Amino acid sequence: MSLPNVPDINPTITLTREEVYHLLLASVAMEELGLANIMNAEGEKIQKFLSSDEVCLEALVMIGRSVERMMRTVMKSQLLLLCKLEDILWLEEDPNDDENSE
Amino acid sequence: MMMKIRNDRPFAQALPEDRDRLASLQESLARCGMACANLLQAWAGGADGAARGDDGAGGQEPSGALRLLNQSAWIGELNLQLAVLTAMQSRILPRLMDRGIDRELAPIGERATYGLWVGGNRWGAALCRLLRRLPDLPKADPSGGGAGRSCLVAAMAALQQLHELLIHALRWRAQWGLLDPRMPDLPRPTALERELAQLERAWLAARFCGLDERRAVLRQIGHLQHWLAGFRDRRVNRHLVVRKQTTHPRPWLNRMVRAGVSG
Repeated sequence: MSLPNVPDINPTITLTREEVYHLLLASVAMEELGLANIMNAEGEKIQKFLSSDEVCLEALVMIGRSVERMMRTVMKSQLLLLCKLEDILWLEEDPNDDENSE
Repeated sequence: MMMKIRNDRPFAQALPEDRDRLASLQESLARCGMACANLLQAWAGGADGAARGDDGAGGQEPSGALRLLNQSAWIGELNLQLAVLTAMQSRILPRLMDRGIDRELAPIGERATYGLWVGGNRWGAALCRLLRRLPDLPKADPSGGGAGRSCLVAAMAALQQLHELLIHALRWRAQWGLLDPRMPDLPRPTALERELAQLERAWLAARFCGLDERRAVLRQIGHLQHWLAGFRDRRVNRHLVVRKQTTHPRPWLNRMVRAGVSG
């Protein structure tokens, strides 16, 4: 049984190990920034709500619920990003070291 | 006024020839910390307004304070997030320290550190005002001890989360202090200390549930007060020297609890 063949696609990757390392680090930085923007938007939402005339406890509790949901999701992404960063930092080491040690 | 957290540097610095990609990652982590601080300060503002409304005549009932307190449990998630951010920073800090602080990075780190500390203190002060309302709840609901027990659990959890949050802010300061030794000291948390003293008095006067349960909350307040007292020492402020705090003359245990205040 042979592997499936996708026609007319040339998946040649011309990136070096060093370039991949840089791009992966940048991807973590950008993901972090995305999460920061999400949290910042939630903060702005609260501020907007507080600046309105009709501030009631019920609405504040509802906003708290929304913040809680958002924070739980962001926190999960953060944990994955930490794992990703740790793996990227491993890439910085020379791959030949492993071969030499075996 | 919200701090701007937009950062275009990672896009520009994703180029292979970039030599300072870790600095751009560190900057993104700092901006994430700033966003956490923004969120915290905004929430503290809302909770503070609600707590002050409680203090006034005809304000909300104490049950409103308890609901708001329960809805603030996401501070635990925020703590976890700050723990992850400091873990990420600790992974890249040794590499960054070798090359010295980026000029653009220092003020961003300073703002994030300051924002987290001030936000934590502001939330702490609002929390104390909310917690001061809780001893009134069992009086308003004399049907059983259920309300009293939920007050105790909510108070304990919120105070522990606050303590953890402040520790994270200080840890953040210590990390950025390694990158930038000229970073100014954090301001003393005088407002929070004052609110904690008032909270202590309110809970000492409370008469509901068991004595042991009330002591548990008072012990938590005393623990936090002692920790903040240790913060007055500049070495603790700058370098997080925990050992110094234990030698501080104020006992961590609430004085009245130690004396065995009667229920």
